[in-house]
Amino acid sequence: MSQKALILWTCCFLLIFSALSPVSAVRPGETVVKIMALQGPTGLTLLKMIQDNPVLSPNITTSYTILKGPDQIIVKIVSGEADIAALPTNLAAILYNKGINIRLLAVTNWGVNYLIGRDRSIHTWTDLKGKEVAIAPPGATPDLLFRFILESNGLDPEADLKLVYYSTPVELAHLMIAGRVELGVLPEPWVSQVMLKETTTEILLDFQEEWKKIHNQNRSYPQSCLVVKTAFAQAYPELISAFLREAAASSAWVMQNPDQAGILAEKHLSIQATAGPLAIPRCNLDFLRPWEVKEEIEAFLHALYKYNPDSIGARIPDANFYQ
Amino acid sequence: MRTSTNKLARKVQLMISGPCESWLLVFFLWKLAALRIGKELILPAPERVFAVLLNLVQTPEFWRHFFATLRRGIVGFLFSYFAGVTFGLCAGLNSYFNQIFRPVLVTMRSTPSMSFILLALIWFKSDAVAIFVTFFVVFPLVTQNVLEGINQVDPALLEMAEIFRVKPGRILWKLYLPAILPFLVAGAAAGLGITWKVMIAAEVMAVPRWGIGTRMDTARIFLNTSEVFAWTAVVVSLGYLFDRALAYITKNLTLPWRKP
Repeated sequence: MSQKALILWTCCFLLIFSALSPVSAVRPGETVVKIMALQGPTGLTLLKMIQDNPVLSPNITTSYTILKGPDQIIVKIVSGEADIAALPTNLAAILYNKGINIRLLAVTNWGVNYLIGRDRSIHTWTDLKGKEVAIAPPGATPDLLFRFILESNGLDPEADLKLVYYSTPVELAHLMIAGRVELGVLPEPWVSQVMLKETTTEILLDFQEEWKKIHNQNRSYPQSCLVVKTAFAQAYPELISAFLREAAASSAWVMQNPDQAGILAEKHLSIQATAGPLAIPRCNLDFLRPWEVKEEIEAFLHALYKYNPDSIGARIPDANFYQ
Repeated sequence: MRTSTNKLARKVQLMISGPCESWLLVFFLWKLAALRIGKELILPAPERVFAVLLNLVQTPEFWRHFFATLRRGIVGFLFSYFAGVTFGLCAGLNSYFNQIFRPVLVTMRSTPSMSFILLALIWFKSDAVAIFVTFFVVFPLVTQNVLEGINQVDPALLEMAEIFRVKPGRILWKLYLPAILPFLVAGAAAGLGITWKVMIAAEVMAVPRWGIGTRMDTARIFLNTSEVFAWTAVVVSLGYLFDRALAYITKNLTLPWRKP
């Protein structure tokens, strides 16, 4: 080994020691509660709060951030920057299972997926036999739910119909508006946007109603939720209860005032104002605490797990996830 | 004789110890960074990625995704390569054709590959997107290489061949081919290298039913960073394998011309 190599390896060992030294993670003197939400229906529950910014605790200011994609909200949660976040429930389970210290605070919406198209011959799920259906993206929650529902109706997703995949709902929505896709699985607000622009498109099948039927329960599947950083929840219990009160009120307001909420949704959540009033009633907002709906949450996670364990982080979260 | 054997031994030793140490260093720094970050979500440790890869190769889906991408890559590359050689020869031998063709080539070369991907997503079904994009990236690269090779032919020799009325076929075979051959090989190496990179990017965007890019995207959606790393290792090995295979083939192929 030459002298240069020796120096190189020495540097490496020095790096080890610096690497193993603890990273300072605690931010002292926290005075701002950072609430972050994903744009679109996931953040819909918090809409009124984002607009009014109510005081949650006398000495603490609240800041709201709307993030464009799951990747961005993941970064904020993993880095510990977000104190409270609105995101898909399976993503919350993944983060929890990957060792991120978060807890479920509430389930906020109960499914926004629909099968839409121009083919009027489709009235039941079994009518889909032999048809071509587009989904975006492959392997994500809508795809897994669709497969679950098909199999529950005695259909084989691989053999009985042709599934075509696109990378994003935006792309699929544009193709449906252009009339190049006959049948597609889309979430709100894309359903409403397609129906506004391509007026012969109709909602043919409702994922939520079918889910209730299959599981014989009153509630559909818990698609989106709110999570809180565990340390934050323990440090500010009063603030959390104030937040939950306000969030529940905001959720109820959005459902009761779809027109006004539609305008706010365009301003804050990048949902077109024309689509908002149509989309909001179909977003199935219902603000519930985790322990009230633990069974429903677990049924949802089990179904996803069956199709791809990775979709919930490779295991069913333990009781701590529900606080 | 003895000194040359020693030299050879030294060379072999360098070849082995060099890469070996560099690999060690890479894994060492990687492990270090993983320890420092301490979150598999952000940077999984090398042994974790290896374990995921081992699990992955045991599933039948892995091979289906693997061969789908492999097939797409070979088809895309061969198609672009032969088109590139043909167009390169035409443009190199005919200055009028060259004048017409050059702006097109320059445009293709300077267009971001993401533009091709985005447009292909609108125009084609997902399976064709990756091949189309590969063509638009590899084709100009190969053409450029062939053109450069033709420019390397000694004009004095060409003039002489003309004076002595050497048959065009013989000129092509004896003068042009030896000159452009190294460029053909370089073009193939560069084209193959970029094929896999572009192919995966296009697959991630177009999500064909089967393909490594599709699985990478699914792994990313579900924050399975280890799997993203594992698939990346698969693609890197694929590229490396093809690079070695090409080197082996060309070593044997170019021999007749290298003989004095």
